[in-house]
Amino acid sequence: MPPCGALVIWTSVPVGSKFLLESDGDCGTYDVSALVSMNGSPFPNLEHADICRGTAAIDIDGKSQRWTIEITLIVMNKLSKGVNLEARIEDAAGNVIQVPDGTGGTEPALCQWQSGTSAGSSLEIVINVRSVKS
Amino acid sequence: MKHVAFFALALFIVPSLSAQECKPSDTIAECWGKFNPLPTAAATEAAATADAENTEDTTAAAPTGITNVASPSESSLKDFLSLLAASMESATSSEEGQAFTFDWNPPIGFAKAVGVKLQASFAETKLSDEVTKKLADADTIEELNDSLEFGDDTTFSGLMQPRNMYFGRSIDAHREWFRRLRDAVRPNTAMENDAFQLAQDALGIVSARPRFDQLVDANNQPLSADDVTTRINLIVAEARRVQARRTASAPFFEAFATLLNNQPQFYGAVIYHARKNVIGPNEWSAKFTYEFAGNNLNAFKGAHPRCADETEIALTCAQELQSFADAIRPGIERLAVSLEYHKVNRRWISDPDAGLDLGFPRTRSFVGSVAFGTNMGSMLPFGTAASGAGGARLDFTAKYELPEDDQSEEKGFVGTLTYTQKISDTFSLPLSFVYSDHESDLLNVDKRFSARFGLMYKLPDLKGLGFTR
Repeated sequence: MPPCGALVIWTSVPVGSKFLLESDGDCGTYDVSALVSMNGSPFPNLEHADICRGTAAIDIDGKSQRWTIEITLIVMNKLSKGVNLEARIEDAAGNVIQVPDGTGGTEPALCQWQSGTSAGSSLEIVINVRSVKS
Repeated sequence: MKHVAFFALALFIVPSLSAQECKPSDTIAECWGKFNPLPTAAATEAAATADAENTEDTTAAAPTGITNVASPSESSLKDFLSLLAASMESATSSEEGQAFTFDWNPPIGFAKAVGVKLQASFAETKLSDEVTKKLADADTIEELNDSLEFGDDTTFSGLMQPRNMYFGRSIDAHREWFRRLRDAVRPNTAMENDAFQLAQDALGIVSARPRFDQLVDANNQPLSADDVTTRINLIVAEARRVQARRTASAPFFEAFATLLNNQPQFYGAVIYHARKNVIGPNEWSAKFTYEFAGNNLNAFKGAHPRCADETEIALTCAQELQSFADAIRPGIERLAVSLEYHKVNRRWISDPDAGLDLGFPRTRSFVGSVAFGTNMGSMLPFGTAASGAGGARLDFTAKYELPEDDQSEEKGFVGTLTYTQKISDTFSLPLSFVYSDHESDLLNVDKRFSARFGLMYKLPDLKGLGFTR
């Protein structure tokens, strides 16, 4: 599967799915957060404590939901290796769902990125998630 | 009429120009990435401009130098935040000394306010000069040398430092404050986000993977050139909006990291040097060090006390923090001052068969040192802009040793100049020049001038072995 870019669009997501976001590495060396909005209204951020070494989650609990997740990861101290960031959508059974790939096929709703290593550098991702329509 | 014509022309020209920035053969993600690249591509892009290179020199705390507390080439910047690092040091003088050092910063879950570093340094084993002088028989010397093993000359050290709002370089103590400033410079744009998604939906964009010229209409038919241009324009317009927000806030993030990395550190260390008897006596040291750089978060909060607590002025404070960091001239300087108490244990070696009957007396001494370090541009053609490698560091250390017996020949000064060149993200090459006006077992020098070189390797994240948080 080719690597994901800084813009990700996942559509036709079944109701009952869960968007998950997590990072690794030394939590005290960076800050990661995500601005969240749905259908034009802001939602509480996903914050560092939930994302780093844990799993931050958003429940896709209705039809025609348009979620925008804007992730910002700031490296605070020089690192020997970049921080790994992973986003995915799972069904109720914990399996990564398949979403349209725009060419008639499907692909897993799973992306991974790696930050830079310089202090002050940032990794910024925009993820658009749209649930199935009413 | 002329104005209408001009406006119509502008409407025609501007979209055409936008379409040219992204091509129909680009994927949607590739088009977006031209305005908002991922870090690898961003490093390449930034390296092409002088401003970006200055920012890298200013904010990137490049190699931290030699971290072996027992080395005369010890850096002024303690790397508490590298989880595990290994370094090798070699003297190029006729002494042929070598030391291999392991560093480990164990995460302490129950005491996040404390940073801990454990270190083990394994020196190349060789007989003590006193022992070789006592032995007249070359065969006995060789036999004793052959009996030495790796680990017979080992230095163990434990370092501890407080990490809070005033000391330490971890963001943890500042995270709540940083969050308020961050939210001020990067507010949620929910309405604009939704408008983008509604437009995608109307144009049938269901993924960022396909090329623009692969998109189809509602009847699954290829799009016309104008329809392709419309979709390109949508992505470009939103990518530009996000780019503008990103470039507006990036200087604040860089400034915060700069000031955070200038925070003072205070730490104590206990060092035990364990040696086989024919190598030398065992030694104990207790060392306290304070290191600081002038412009840091403490200095900013002192100059702007309201910014520490008040949320309503967070945006103003973020701007003032950025200006505060911008005032720092390139080449961050860091100063470290330390005091060390050192004790050599008495040891007697009696081996009639080998002809050995000598002792090492118990001694006590104090060592004071000052270390000054600065990041600088690379003097050697190493590293690539894309990887961020190629930085360097210069450290100067001056030490004065004062034995308990003031008349001792081991009283005196040692100066060291160390240039550390970063080769890659994991390897650095330190090169040191040492001057000493006396012989010193404590400071491991016995020539007026000597040169040492080494290799530093930082081990990767040990997630699979359970050593990480």
